[in-house]
Amino acid sequence: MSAWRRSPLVAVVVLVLFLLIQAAVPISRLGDHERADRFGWQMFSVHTEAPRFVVVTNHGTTEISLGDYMARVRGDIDIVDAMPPHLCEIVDGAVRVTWQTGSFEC
Amino acid sequence: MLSRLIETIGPRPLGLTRIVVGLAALIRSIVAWRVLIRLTEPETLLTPYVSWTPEPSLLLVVVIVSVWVVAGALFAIGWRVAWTGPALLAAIVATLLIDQQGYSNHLYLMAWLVLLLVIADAGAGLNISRSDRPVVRWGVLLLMLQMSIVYGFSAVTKLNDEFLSGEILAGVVSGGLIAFPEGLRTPEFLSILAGVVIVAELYLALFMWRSRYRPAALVLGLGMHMSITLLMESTLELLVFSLEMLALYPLFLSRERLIVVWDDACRFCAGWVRRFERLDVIDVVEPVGKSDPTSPVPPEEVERSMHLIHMGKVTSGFRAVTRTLEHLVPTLWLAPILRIPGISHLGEWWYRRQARRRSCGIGQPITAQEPP
Repeated sequence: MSAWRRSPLVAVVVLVLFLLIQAAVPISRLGDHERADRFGWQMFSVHTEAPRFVVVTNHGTTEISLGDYMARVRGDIDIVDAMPPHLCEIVDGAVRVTWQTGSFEC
Repeated sequence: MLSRLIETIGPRPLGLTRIVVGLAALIRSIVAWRVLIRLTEPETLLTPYVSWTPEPSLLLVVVIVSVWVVAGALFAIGWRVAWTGPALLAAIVATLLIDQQGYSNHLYLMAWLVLLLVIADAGAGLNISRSDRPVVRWGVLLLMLQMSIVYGFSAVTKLNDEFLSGEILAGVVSGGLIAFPEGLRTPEFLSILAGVVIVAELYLALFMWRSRYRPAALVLGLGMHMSITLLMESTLELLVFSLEMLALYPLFLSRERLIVVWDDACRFCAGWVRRFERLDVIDVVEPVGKSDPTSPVPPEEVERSMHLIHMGKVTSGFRAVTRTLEHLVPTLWLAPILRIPGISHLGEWWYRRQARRRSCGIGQPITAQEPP
């Protein structure tokens, strides 16, 4: 067995450090519970409604499925800023992207 | 206190935890591949934490997942854990950090578990070289604390109106391997269930540490993890989470020797002791035959029933069987069931019947002392 594992000082330092990190990080993630947060062990504690994007083209409008444009749809990722320009770039003929609370001109 | 932290203990429970976490990592590599490969597709929106993160490419994904699978398999079998553990950890951390979509709570937990297993020297027990060496207590303590922290915060963050109303459960208990009974999908029942989930998580966080309440905690934890794995969507990922948490349970089992005093002149009893030894993955059972001069129980009492001495407490008969099974990993879920009134009475009756039949010649005496 390595000598460092037998050291009481190492044991105490690692334990204290571990407890500090394990308490501080989840506590810092406790918010107003509008959105589950990462690194806080908040499994299934709140439900986050994903934004619904509608792409407007010259031929009409289409509500897109987020699963088609994300590797994993997670409520804790804020995609409102990044998704509209991405959709403008990817969807042929897109002129505008709208969602519940705003819109973006391509 | 300090000396307790650095005292050495048996490595087998830790080795068992390493094996299960390693297997969970192998299963999780399938999900990692799916997510990472999607990130390489042009339609997929990238959501990096910081702008300087390398953009996922096919080559990068192949490297990460290959390291993950190879290191995970070697880690599980206990081959050079001091090297394979950090390699596995690197693959997991790369997946977590390459993009926000790579994050999962159970993957974040896996990173912590692999790190703590490496620190605790988890390759010391149940390894491919079949050579056990003791480990220090504080390394194991870190993993036990990790379990309480996860259950504790999970319970506390559920203390909100939305969860307590049952709304969250209504949304998540669907699409699993087993359909949630539609008749029970009422706001009242789901609200009660939400309360039960919180109490169960708090109970696991607090009472796994107390030997008196641990048997119930073990059954509760097993039941809860089976339910979420079977009733909810994302079965594979929930299976991984359940394996991670259940892998930590053996660490809470008592390390005190279970001294099983048995009638070594009887084949029937030898059969039971042999079964106990086969189930004793973590090496805590210590059989002592009645003919052994060190036997702490008079032979005439052992002839009547098997005795168990554990932490100074003596039990006999069916109660001794139940308490022994409580400390053996494959049967720890069964023992609390055997304690239920009715079942325990039936067990006592069965034990007395077997003991009587044994003395009537069904359990044939052993002429020379055999090792069990």
